[in-house]
This record gives sequence, C-alpha cells and structure tokens, in this order.
Amino acid sequence: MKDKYRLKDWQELAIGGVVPDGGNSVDYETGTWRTSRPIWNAENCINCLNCWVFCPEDAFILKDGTTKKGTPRKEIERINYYHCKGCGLCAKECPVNKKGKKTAIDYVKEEH
Amino acid sequence: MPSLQEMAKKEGAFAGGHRMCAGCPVPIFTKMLTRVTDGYEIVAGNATCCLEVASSIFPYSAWKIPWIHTAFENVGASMSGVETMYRALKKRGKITKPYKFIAIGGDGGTYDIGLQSLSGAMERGHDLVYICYDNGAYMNTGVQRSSATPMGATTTTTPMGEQSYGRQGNRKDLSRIMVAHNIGYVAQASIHDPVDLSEKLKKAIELDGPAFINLLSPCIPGWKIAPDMAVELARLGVETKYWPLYEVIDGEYKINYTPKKEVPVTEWMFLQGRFKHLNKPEYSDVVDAFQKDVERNWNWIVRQAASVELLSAEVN
Repeated sequence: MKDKYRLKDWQELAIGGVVPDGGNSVDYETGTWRTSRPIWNAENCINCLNCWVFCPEDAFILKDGTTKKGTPRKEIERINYYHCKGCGLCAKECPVNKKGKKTAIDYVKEEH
Repeated sequence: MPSLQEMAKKEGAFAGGHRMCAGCPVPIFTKMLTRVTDGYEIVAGNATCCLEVASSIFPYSAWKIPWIHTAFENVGASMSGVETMYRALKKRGKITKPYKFIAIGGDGGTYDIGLQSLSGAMERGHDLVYICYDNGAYMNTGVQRSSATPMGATTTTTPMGEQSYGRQGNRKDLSRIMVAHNIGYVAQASIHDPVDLSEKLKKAIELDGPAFINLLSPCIPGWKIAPDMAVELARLGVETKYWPLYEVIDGEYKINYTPKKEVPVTEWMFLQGRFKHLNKPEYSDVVDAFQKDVERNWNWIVRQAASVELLSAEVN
C-alpha cells in the first residue's frame, strides 16, 4: 500500500473522528480504476460543457476564455486523470462525437 | 434558467476522488447543488445510501458544504431539526446569512424506510428540499428489491428463475404521494437533462417551504449496464414515458417534456440486464402489463395537466 493511504493512529486523528477539511477526497486517487481513457481533442471541441456537467468525477478542469465575439466564458482546459475513472460518459454524451464526422473526445483502451 | 456556462462559473458542492462506481450519474446533481442559486448557503443531510457511503469514506469527505450523515430512516426528521434550529438562532440574531436545507436519500431510504420521517417533515412545513434519487432498488447493499423496483426486474431478493419472472406487481408512485401532502413544489426530474434539473433545483431551493424532487438515476451494477450507458438510459426512460418529467406547483400539474414520438418501453427495458430474461415469448404478458402500467400513469398525468389548463381557461 502506498504511504499516503496509511491509516492514522488514534493520536493523530481529530477529536470525535471528524473530517475538518471537507472536500479532501481530491487527495484520493481514483484514476487507478480506469480500463479505458478519454482523450480530449481541443481542435474539435465546441466548449458546450456537456462533458463537464455529465462527468461524475469533476475531472474536466475549466479555464477562463472568450468566445469569438469576445464575451467571457468557461472553456475546457484538460482532463484530470488523477480522478477520471474512465466510465466514458463524456465521450458518449459529446455532441461532436454524436454527429459522427469528427471526435472531440476519443475513448481508447488504457495501456498498462 | 441557469445555463451550463453560468453554473460553471460557481463553486461546486462535491469534489472528485469519491468512491461512487465509475459512470454512476448521482454526482451530476450533487455537483449542481450550490451552482443553481445565488446568495444562499446550502446545508445537506444524507440518509444512508450509496452517495453517503461513497462520499465519506474515512478520513476523506467529498463534501465542500456542511453535511450530516443520518441513519436510513430519519433524514427528514434530522433536517427538520436543523432547519428549526436555524430559524430559532435567526430570530435571536445569532445567524444573519440566509441558509437553505437539502435532504438527500436513495429510493430505499425514501420510498420505504424514511417515508414516515419524510412525510412528517413535509407536513410540518419546514423550509426543506428533499431530493430522492431513484435507482430502483437497494443498490448499496447489493440490489435488494425496494418498493421503487419496477415490475419484472430481477434483484437478489426477487430473482428470476423457473418459478418467477422477477419483482411481482407494480411500483409505488412516491411523487403522487408527495403531491397528496399539498406542498408547494413537487417535481420529477431526470439526470439526462441538466438544464431542466437545474431549473427544478432552483425552484425547489428558492421556495419558502417544503419541496420534493424525485430524480431518475440509473445504476451501473444494479441495472446491469455498461458504465457509459447511465445518461442514455435515463433519456430513454423519459422517452418511453416510464419516467414522465413534470412538476406540480401548488397542486397544479405541468408536463415539462412530451416525447416527440411513441417509443415502446421494451426499447428501454431490454438494454438492461435486469430485464433481459423477459425478452422471450412466454413473458410477453409481463411486458404488456408493464407497457399498460406506463401508459396508464402517463395518461393520468396528462389528464391532471389538461384539467389545470381547462380550469384556468374557464376562469379567464
């Protein structure tokens, strides 16, 4: 077992076993579950954010950007493979993929 | 209506690294909780369910908002207490920020075990939103039947075999039970439509009083489907009218989505492993009964919505 998953002694734990910092599950790696991986193609992406909203792992990292007209919007920056479990929902629900001409998210077997 | 862009600008309530199954669509709505409204602090309570177990495995927690785990049967009662305490402290001037309270339960904890505490919370009129995500069985403990399990589904307690075709009889319609509580807002939503879902969440949270949302949420191991199929099956569940999208505001029904064409319920059923055994000629009567029940339920809702339109036309 990796050292970071070592269980704490009772002296190290907070009183009552509370978890003082909510959202600390981001430290836990679930990317090891993956058997297939999504690969995001920036050039075909239309930034509809469907993949972001449907991703159960919050693995699509967003950045600030602008539309062609110059209005500010959120854009996809990259996929966080530390959390991505490789379920494939993003590739399945991508409207560019659904049209069938190009792919904005490829879904390929993981190479170990 | 909060668009995806607007929601993306806000901080989510739920972090990655939780241990829900790959492809489980439940975090799609937990991520949204803080993104649909402005100016409210959200506090969530969680009955024992998949979400509770997988989001809070010690010493990790995926929740970025104040969150309480309660037992299976009492999330309605616990959140009633929290809400009452908030009102008392607000009255004494000890809290000034506006808070909103959300209770979350699975279908086992809502349809069966938590029904009486939910009913009490709604009847007493607490300012509380109860969200039930319905995956159609006790998935967390290993797919035992609940009263939300549809007819014919094979579960570990209603297995299909020589003597049985799976779960016997029709499922309970909890949304209608909640409408009978005469509360301000009841809605049925589906995980496949985030815009519709976010609008319903917004209406429910901003309402001053009890509200209830019933959410269709496919389960990967329980429905025996591929990990990328959850959203597609929720969509098909709505298209086949198994799960009508509607809302009831102050007792008045409104259908949010009418499917464009008739899709037989078999299109939805036979994509799932739990119904695959019914795909034989000897079980055609079970499938017909299922289809009939779906149509009867849909027609009932259509009649309710039509009567609302008729009445408002008469008034005008």
